[in-house]
Amino acid sequence: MKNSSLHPLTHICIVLLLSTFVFIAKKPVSLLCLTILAMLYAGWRMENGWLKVFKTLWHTLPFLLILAFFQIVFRHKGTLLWSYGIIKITREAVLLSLQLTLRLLTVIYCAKGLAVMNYTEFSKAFSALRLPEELSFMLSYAIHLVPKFLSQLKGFVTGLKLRGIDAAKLSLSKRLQVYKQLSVTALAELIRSSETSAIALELRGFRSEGKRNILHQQKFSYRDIFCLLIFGALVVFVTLI
Amino acid sequence: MLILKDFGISFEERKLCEGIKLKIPEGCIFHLKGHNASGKSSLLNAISGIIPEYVKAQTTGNILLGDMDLQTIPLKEKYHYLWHQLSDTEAQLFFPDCLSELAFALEHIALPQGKLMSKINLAAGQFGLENMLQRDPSTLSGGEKKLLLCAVAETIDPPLLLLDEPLNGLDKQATDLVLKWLKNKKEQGKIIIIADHNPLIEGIADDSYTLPENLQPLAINNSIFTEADLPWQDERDCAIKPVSEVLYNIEELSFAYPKAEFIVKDLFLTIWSTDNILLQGKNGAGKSTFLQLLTGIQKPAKGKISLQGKPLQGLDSKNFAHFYYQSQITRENLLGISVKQNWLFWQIALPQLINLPLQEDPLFTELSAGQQKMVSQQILPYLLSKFWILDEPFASLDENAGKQLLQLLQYKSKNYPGMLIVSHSLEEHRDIFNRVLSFQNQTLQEEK
Repeated sequence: MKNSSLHPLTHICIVLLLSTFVFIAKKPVSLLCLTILAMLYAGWRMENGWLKVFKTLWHTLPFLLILAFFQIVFRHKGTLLWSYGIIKITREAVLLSLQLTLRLLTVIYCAKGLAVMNYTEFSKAFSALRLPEELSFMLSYAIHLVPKFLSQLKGFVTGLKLRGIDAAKLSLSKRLQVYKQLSVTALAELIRSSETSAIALELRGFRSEGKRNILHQQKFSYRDIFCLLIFGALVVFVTLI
Repeated sequence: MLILKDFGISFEERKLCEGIKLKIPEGCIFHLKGHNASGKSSLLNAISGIIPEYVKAQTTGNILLGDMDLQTIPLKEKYHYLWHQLSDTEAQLFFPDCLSELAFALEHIALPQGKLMSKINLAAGQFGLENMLQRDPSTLSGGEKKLLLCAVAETIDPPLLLLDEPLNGLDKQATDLVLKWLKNKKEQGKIIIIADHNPLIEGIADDSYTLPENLQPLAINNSIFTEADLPWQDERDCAIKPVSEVLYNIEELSFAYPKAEFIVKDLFLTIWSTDNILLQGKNGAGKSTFLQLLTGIQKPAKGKISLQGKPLQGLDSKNFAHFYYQSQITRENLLGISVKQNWLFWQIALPQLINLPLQEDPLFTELSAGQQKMVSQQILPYLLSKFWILDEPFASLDENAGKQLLQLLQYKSKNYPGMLIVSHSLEEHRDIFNRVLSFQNQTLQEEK
């Protein structure tokens, strides 16, 4: 994660602004602007950000295109743009598929931007709002659930390779069986590790009674307010275009 | 004084131990002994309160610290009274940097910032971690992680210390540091309970208790490691005696983790397929990373590694034809959630493998650290002809299991030579090896 001088709460607010307004905006131009803002934000937050932004786009594109295809082909109501036999493409279907794709992309980039925050940062953000530290733990764990699951799975695939198993060369049924088993194991490991983390933290006083001091305190400054105001105005502006 | 009155633990219908009576006075180092799966970790878990708060189990009897019944105090408040260092180090580290790891408990005690920092610096200095405060704990070596947890214990400084395998994976220098720290704590009047198979603990312990054999153990048996059974492997197809040829050719190899110093710099090395190599070095010197470079899990920053004449192209299932690697972290060597499932994955890799004679199929979560290690090693006798790359294979094993593994290594070194072992426990058994390599100043030096 890149160091940011902004308060973690500011980052949470930025992500909330983007992911909320992307569902309010309806025009493709507004949605595209919000998606670009989300991409810029994720690129700024992540280590090797631009490369990762591009990789995410590359990896999610097939999924998004399939979604868009189904939206276009199976939605027949609205102004007809083109038809061939039973295939009809309407203006509304294209618009809807575009909305869906851009909204999904924005949410994915927002999640990417948020996933770089660790427990300490969530803790700082929530302590500024005087919210309990359990919430920081839960949210930080929830945000990292998918990356952790994928990293577990990646670890198991490494395990397979170290045993000389090339999953690509297995028969389809065997491959499905192997991946099903590994996914179940990754999920079980995820649950187990969340419990062990909770134990490890409680052994150091997590959730205990009494006042808590924070080593690296960070105050919500005027710079954060200024940044949020500018960003908020920008988001509202592009939504209203 | 810590008192255990008629204490017992049982998991559903399986009784682990019962009727334990212990009185441990202040200023005492108490050695908790027993075979793998005898219940050492579970007893520590019960004293700290992880059992029954997080692990479902029934306990009988009482645990008193002075006049206080420890069982009535919730786990989240126990840090005022005790520190419990789990055997699974990975699981106990949570934060993005070592400083936050050390600060977390002190933040909850609400120490003023100046005092907090001075406590952290003192503890870090005591364990030689002062230059690592900004480092991500996940990039530390296994031994450094252990030291970090000892430093956390030092910052909290409670009256009772429960330490599960604190010397596991530590080099001599780090072991001395921990032993000195333990003696110090003893002088300060702390009660220290240690579960460890390392005989050095025996030397400093004031008292000990050997847990009786597990009443209803989950059978994990590695008797196939014994000399009587091993020659049987010779008849198997998968055990073809290796021919001496260049296995690895390493040229100008350099590697560094992000924002850290070089671990290896401009290394040249040749490893023969029949070499039996013991790899040594201080904690954090880069032994495990070097093994990961050889397996393709890590990629070199500079230089070239050739495996049997061909450049090593990262992690590839085809490399299994040449070597078998086991990580220091046992869980990474296991696939699936149970013993049977792990073996089924092996049967996919080696279809000629017979079924394991298992009466039950325990989940890994039901097994002790030592038992998990044994399960991960069950495959070794079937891979005798391969070049073994093993990282700390003796960690967590009790005396019996350690002896069996040693026999296996001795057998392989004579009959199927070809291994590279990282271990702090094989100093006395150098005769197994024809080469001893030692990490010094970012390079490997051959000991004569």
